[in-house]
Amino acid sequence: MQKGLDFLLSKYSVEDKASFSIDGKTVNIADKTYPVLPYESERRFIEMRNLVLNGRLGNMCTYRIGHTFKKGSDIFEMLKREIGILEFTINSIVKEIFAIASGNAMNCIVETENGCVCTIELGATLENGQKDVDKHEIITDNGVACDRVVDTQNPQESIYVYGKKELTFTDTDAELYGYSEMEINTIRNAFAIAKSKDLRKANVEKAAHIEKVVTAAKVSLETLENVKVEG
Amino acid sequence: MKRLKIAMMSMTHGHTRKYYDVLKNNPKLDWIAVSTANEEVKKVFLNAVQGIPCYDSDEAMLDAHPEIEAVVLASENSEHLRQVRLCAERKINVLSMKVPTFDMEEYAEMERLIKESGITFQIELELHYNPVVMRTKELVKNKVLGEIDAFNATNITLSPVWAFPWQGVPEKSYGKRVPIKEGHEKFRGGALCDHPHIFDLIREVTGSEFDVIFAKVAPNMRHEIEEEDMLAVVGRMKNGVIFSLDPSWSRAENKLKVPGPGWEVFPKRMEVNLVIHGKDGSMFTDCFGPNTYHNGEVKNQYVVQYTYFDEWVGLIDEFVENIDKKRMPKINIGWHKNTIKAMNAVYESISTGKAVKL
Repeated sequence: MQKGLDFLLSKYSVEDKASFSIDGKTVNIADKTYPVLPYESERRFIEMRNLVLNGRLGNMCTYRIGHTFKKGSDIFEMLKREIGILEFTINSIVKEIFAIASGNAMNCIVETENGCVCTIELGATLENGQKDVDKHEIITDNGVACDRVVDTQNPQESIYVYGKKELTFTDTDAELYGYSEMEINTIRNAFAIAKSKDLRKANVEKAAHIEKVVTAAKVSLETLENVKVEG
Repeated sequence: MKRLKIAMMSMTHGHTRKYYDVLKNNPKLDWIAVSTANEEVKKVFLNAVQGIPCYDSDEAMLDAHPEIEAVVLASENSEHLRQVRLCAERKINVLSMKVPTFDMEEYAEMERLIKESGITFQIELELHYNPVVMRTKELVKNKVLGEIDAFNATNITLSPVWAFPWQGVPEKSYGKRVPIKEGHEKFRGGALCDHPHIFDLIREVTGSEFDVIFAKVAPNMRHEIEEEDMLAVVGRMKNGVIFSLDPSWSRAENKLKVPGPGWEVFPKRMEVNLVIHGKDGSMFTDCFGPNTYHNGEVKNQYVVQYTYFDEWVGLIDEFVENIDKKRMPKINIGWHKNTIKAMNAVYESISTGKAVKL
C-alpha cells in the first residue's frame, strides 16, 4: 500500500510525506499518527453521502445496515466500521445505542442526532475465501438510496468468469489498478489526510467518537439497556 | 514541473463536461481558455466553470493565446477537419473526440495534416482507461478462457440528441445526409455514430481485424428524430472470432437541454457489457457496474448513481505523456481507421441488406 500512496503523493505533488503503520490502520504524517478511515474514501459511500448532502434524498427516517464477514473476526471492529459508515453517509453522529448478541452475531439499534433510527446486523460466520456480504440502505421521506441493486441479496461484481475455475473481479480505480478494494480505500484515505490538515483533525475526532459508541454498545450488551453515548 | 497549456474548442460535445474536473485538477495541466460554438453552450459553460477565458471563435482564442500547446476538440464531427487544420497550422497537439470523421477522404486529409505538422493526435476512447476493461484485457491475455470464440458487447445509452442537438443532425454527426436504406425515412448519423467503443475494443481484445459484418436497422423507438436509434450488428473477425455488437440508443430519456438529475427514464443511462466465450469458459463483464442506486431523483424514479467514473484521469495523463515524450498515442489516427471503416461497413450492410467483407 505504501507504494500506491507514494505514487499518489508524488503525482499530485503533495508536500507532506505519509507512511502507513504495519497494519495499515494509521498513517504517520510529520511525526504524528492519524487513524485511517477507509470507508470515507470508498466511492459507494461518497455517492450515498452526496445524495444526502445535496438534498436529493429527504429527511432521514431509517437506515438498514447488514454485514456478514469472516468467522473469528472481532465483531466490535466491524461495528466500528459500520458506525463510521453510518455517520459519514448521513453526516450525523450516533447519540444512543442498544445492542444484543448471540454466538457469532450481534444486532443493534442506534439513533443519530438527526433522528435517524438505524439497525445494524452483524454476523461473523463466513469461511476462508468467502467474500463479505454487506448492504447499506438509507430510507428517507423522499426516497431510498442503497449500495446494492434492487432484487439482489449478494454484492454484484464487475466481472464473472465461468471457466475451469469460477472467478470474480471488481476493479474500481484505474490509478491504483491491482490493489484490492480495501487497499484502494485505505490508500485513498491516507492520501486525502496527507493533503488536508483539517481532515487529519477530523479523523482523530471521528475515531475517538466511534470508540465511545462501541464502549456504549458493550455496556448495552451487559445491561440490556439503551445507552447514551458519552458527549 | 512544466505544465501543458491546454484549451478546449466548441464545447458542443456530450463529453465536454467530463473534462472540467480533470483540466482543473491535473497538476500537469494549465487550462488556458475555451472557445464556444454558440451562445447556448457558452452559457452552459459559464454556469459550470469560472475563471477560464471564453471566446466566441476558435481563431479568436488561438490568436489571443499563442501559448496554447494542446487542444481538446469538444465539437461536432463535422467541425473536426477544420479544427485539425487550425491546430496543425499552429503545431498545436490535439485530443479529438471519438469520431474524427466518417468520410475517408477527410480522414486521409487529417492523416496528412498530422503527419506533416508532427503534432500529437490522440483519439478519446475512454474505455481504455476503465479499470474493469483493464482487468478484462488482462484475463483474456492470460488465456483464462483459452482461445476466444466470440466477443459480444453492448454499448447502449439514452439518446443525447435533446441535450446535444448536433447529434440529431445527419450532416453534423455523419457528415452528410444519407438515407439509412432505400425507402427508409431515417438517415445515417444516429446511435452508431455515438458508439465506436466496442468496435475499437474488440480489435484490441481479439488482436484481430474485422472480416465480415452484417447489420440490420430496427424500427426507431424515437419516431421524432431523423436518424437511426436501434440497430444490431453481427460478424466475424479475421482470426475467426465471431461477434454481436449492439450500439443502440435503447435507453429512454427525458428531453433535457442540459444533462442532470432526471435525464434518464430507464434506470441506467449507459451500459457497456461484454460477454466473451472461449474454449475454456465464458466471462461476463459490466464495465460500469456495480454502482449505488436510489429513487431520490426527479419524480422519484429508481436510478443508477454512477459510482466509478474516472476514465478521463488516465486518458489525460496519457495524452500529456505522449506529448512530453513524443510518443505515438495508442488510439492514434492510423489505428482508429479500421474502427471507422467497420462502422461505415455497418451502414453499408444496412443499406444493401448484405454482409460486407472487409
